[in-house]
Amino acid sequence: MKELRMHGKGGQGIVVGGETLSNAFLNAGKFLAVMPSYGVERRGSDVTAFGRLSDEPVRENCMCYEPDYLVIFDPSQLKKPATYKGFVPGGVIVACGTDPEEVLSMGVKPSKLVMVDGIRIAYEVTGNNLTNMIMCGAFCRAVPELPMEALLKAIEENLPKNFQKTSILGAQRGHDEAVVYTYEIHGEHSKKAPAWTRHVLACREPEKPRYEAPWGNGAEKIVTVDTGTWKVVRPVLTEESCIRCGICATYCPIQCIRKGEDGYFRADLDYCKGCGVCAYECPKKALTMVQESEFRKA
Amino acid sequence: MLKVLSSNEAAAQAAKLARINVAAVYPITPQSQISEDVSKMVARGELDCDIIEVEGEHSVMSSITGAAVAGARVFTATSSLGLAYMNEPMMFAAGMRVPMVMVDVTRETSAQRGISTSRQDAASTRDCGWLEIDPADGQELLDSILMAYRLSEDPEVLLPTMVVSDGFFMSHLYEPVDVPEQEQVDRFLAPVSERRRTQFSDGKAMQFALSLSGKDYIQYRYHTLKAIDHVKEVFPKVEKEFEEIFGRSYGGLVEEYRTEDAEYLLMTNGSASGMAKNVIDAARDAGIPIGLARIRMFRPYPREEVVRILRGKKAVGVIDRSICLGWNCGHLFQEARAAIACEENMPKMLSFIDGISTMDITREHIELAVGMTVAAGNGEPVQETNWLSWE
Ligand code: SF4
Ligand code: SF4
Repeated sequence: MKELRMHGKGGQGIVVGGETLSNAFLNAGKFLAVMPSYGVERRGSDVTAFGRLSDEPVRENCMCYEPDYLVIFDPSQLKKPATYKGFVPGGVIVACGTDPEEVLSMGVKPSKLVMVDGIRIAYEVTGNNLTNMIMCGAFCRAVPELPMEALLKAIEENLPKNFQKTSILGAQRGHDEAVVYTYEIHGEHSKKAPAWTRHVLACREPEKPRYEAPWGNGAEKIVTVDTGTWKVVRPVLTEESCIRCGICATYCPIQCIRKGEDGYFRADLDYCKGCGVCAYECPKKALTMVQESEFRKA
Repeated sequence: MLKVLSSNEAAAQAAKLARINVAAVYPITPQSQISEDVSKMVARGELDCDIIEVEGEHSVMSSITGAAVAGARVFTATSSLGLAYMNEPMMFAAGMRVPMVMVDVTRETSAQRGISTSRQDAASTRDCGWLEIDPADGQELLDSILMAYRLSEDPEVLLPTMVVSDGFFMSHLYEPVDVPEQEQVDRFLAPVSERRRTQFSDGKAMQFALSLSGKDYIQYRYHTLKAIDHVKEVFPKVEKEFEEIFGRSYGGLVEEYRTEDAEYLLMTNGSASGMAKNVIDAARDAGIPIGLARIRMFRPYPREEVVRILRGKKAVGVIDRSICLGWNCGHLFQEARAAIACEENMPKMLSFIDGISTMDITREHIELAVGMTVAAGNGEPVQETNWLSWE
């Protein structure tokens, strides 16, 4: 039994990616049970999915805390400690990015690290940040038990016809363009002693909740979500075309577009999540969505 | 044929294989995929079924009750608040002795906007007069839905059946599921036309919910009770027939896993059972004689089976995903403890509450439950009810 954890963003097709891997493993005679984490999933927010791989049908229906495989679908997840939590030393990491140091600097000890420039390939293949099939292809490269033919067959048999061409191309490029790094791992990974060895006669009680009942103004519970970290594209204004009508500001779903002193409407990039609604609604086509990587280079 | 399906998709496949005639489903997380899949099957012409569009779950239950008395094989699925909203017509359906199958994809109820898992919704309907089957994974859910129609439509039973699927931990888990051939299913479950109870052909008017009072009323109540109880005899037979055709079976009313020579037991239902089996295997390897009793049928409650399995054990730890508010324990615990009261040579019972809201019933939590159950069996003063969530 091997545990697998996938990290990415809502809208990158992680659930479909997991389902496709499950179909691919089934083609290769193995069982992969996959389950996304749940919550209020929105395009751009962090998404995690769990998988268990076995030669037999999998009987556990739980999340995974000590993954042997990590698949990271988006570069934004590379710098987050939560991505690597519990990763078993000597396991395999398949990551969307180009610099292995970005992963290794997080303190993990993979025996194999497979990196692929997924976002670039995704934009070339599909025109957006949908990296799922690219990462599935890279996963095949990392895990010899899963032959590429099994993945391609899974795509052909299970994905809707209109996605097949780009999916196959993405998977193939993910596989072929992935760079494999291998490392020697020393020492045994010691497993935790089973909890039944703890001598517990009563479980802990919770602390008293903040409110007697869940009433209150909730002020101290308000959290600001950095929706700005979700974006892979940002709106860029061409002032010559803009008529300062403010339609973009009206439609922005998170209301981050404000009128400046010069009368132009601009997005607050700390919160802009790059959804592109403003550019779509602008009557003068004065807004263009430009890839974040363009600005990173600058 | 093995197909990668979520439990929600497996439920929709089962409804199709059962050749349902009428469905009414109101979408709600985490059940919506079932209603969407059934609607798609009808739209694509793969399933000859009428879908009644309704404005809420009360009407869902009311409309399919009507369709079922008119002779249709009906289906629905719901969750949480939807199930609560159906409570009144659910009691009606059971009182009218209407055969139907509903999938409840479990979810926390309204307080604090619980959209995550918990079996509180299903537990709150335990005395509605419905049968309740509790599968542990997508395959068993598909199979149980087919068996549920056989039970519901059995002339000696004629009661609605709820098949419970754990929200998210089953509903959103994708894994290979063996989808049977239609021809096999047809052999197991005859088309409903052959089992039709109501005939309108002679043009006579019929009334379906006679109004009764006093002893006449109680007489029907008593008959309903007998019919529910009778399921304990029918179900193992249905499962045996199922096994003959499909080659799968799950162990009757209560599945026993490594119980024969066990001194201690865990008790679970639903999706927590797989990990519990894993922990039991590990504990056995470490020399702890422990087994698992998985309650597969909660209504009727398999009292006799529970007494038989628990007799002579030292301690039993029951893991629940629901809370008897007003009595600090879980529902499985409460019923098992009631079943063994006044019986001789019975174990010490512990209640463990876990897996509510976004909390997972983890390996570590189950291991802890094993340790505490063993301690209780050895006479140590272990607290009766324990919430594993803060461990
Ligand atoms: S909608 Fe377009 S034209 Fe109007 S203010 Fe925004 S950017 Fe300018
Ligand atoms: S892309 Fe435009 S509409 Fe979307 S969040 Fe950013 S500013 Fe608002």
